[in-house]
Amino acid sequence: MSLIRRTWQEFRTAPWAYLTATLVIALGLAVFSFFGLVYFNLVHFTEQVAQELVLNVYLNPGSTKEEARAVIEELEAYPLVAKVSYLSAEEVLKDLEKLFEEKDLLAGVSPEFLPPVLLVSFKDPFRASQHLKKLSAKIAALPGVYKVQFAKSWLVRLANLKRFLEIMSLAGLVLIGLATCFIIALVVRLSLSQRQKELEVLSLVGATPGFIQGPIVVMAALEGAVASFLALCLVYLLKFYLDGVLRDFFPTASGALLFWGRTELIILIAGVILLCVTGSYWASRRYLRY
Amino acid sequence: MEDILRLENVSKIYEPHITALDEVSFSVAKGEFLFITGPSGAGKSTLLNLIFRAETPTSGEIYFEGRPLSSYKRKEIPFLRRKIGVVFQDFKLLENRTVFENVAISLVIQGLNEGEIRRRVVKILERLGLGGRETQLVKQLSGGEKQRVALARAVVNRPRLLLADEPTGNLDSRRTEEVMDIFEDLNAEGTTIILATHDEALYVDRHRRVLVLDQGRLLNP
Repeated sequence: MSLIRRTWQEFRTAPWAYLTATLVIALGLAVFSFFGLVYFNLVHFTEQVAQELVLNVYLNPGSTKEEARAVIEELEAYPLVAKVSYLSAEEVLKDLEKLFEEKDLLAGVSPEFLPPVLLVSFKDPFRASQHLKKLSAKIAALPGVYKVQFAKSWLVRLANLKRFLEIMSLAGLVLIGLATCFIIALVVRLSLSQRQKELEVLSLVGATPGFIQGPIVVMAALEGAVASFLALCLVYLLKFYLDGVLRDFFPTASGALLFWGRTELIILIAGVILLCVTGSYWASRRYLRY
Repeated sequence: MEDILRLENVSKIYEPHITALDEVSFSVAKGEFLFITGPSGAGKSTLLNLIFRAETPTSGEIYFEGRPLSSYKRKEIPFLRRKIGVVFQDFKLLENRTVFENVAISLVIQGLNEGEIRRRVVKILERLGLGGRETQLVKQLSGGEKQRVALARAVVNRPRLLLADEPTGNLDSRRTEEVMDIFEDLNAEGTTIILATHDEALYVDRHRRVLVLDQGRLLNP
């Protein structure tokens, strides 16, 4: 008799036990993956805010383009630098005009008196913040540089906030992950303990461990796959709902919440399936009498 | 005649110090019908459990068809058990499965095709007076019927050795006689049988060898 057919028979022997187990696993997994998403979104949010904090390098008023090019090249050689944008004195003046509603305030200000600016953003602002002091001193010494400014205090605060979120969310995630593993193992074991006698009888009448455990392990794999699918659908719906709620709270917010990427999804589903399979294998092995 | 089973100084001690079997030695010839008797707790069930490797002896050796059971690896034990049919005292039937499914298990695990399984199961059920009960759940059967289902499962795959632990314990005298006739028929067809019972009436006047166990010791080796 084929393994698929025996697996179907296996399901028919205790359909409610299998369905209940699948739902319990799905629920545990949904809680775990939801908190995982909360963690990744918080960390991503702080990183995004940090990206917007840039290093401002003011060049001497009247600096030539060659002098600006030399400073840009020096900055781009630094491995943590993501991008260097050049704002000419005219563009700086335009920005100032946008900033001040009182047009008279800038009357008579000529672009020659304003410093052109280089806006430097970093690949990893939190890592870069540890080297900013050294870097800004080095840049300040370059010919043509008037002043270097950066929002270090904000970066430090953000870095601390990110660290705090990482520790708190990661600790919670580990606890929920352990609880989920425990729930899965317990559910698999309990559903099999109801069938202890049947497994024992099969082993006593000469069934091989493979014959007995094959359908059970396949059912466990299916349980894990279906539970993962249900849990991820639930979390995706929750994310979809939260996207709408966040848009109401922050009308200017552009991006939606992050969801698991393909790699994370594969790891999560494979992990759950593996846990169900090993759990059922060891639980059923206990009841075999060889 | 060649031995199918041989026990040499077999002892079984359960921790901390309960001696279920003490230095038991005997042989069973192929085709023999052997009774093992003795009061409750004498070690009859333990002895049968050791023979089909549900348990292992504390000391001594059991040989089945000349091969020591201690030499069987874990993966070989199912194949050993397919050669030995067992009627358990507590039946060990699957209560929520049908009569057919319970009996067919012994054949399904061997990978026989469905037609052959159906043919053999129906045949043995009819022989044991259970014809037409195939689709009935075991939990709906009487004690005597369950006993016969257990017997059907034990013999349906034509084992070389049949072990029966109190196989008539739940039967009235008429059914007991019928079941004993089936054992006699199976034996006449070549199956070696070891029947454990405390019921003297089963073996008196049958002219079969009877081994008596008491407190784990064989009184007439």
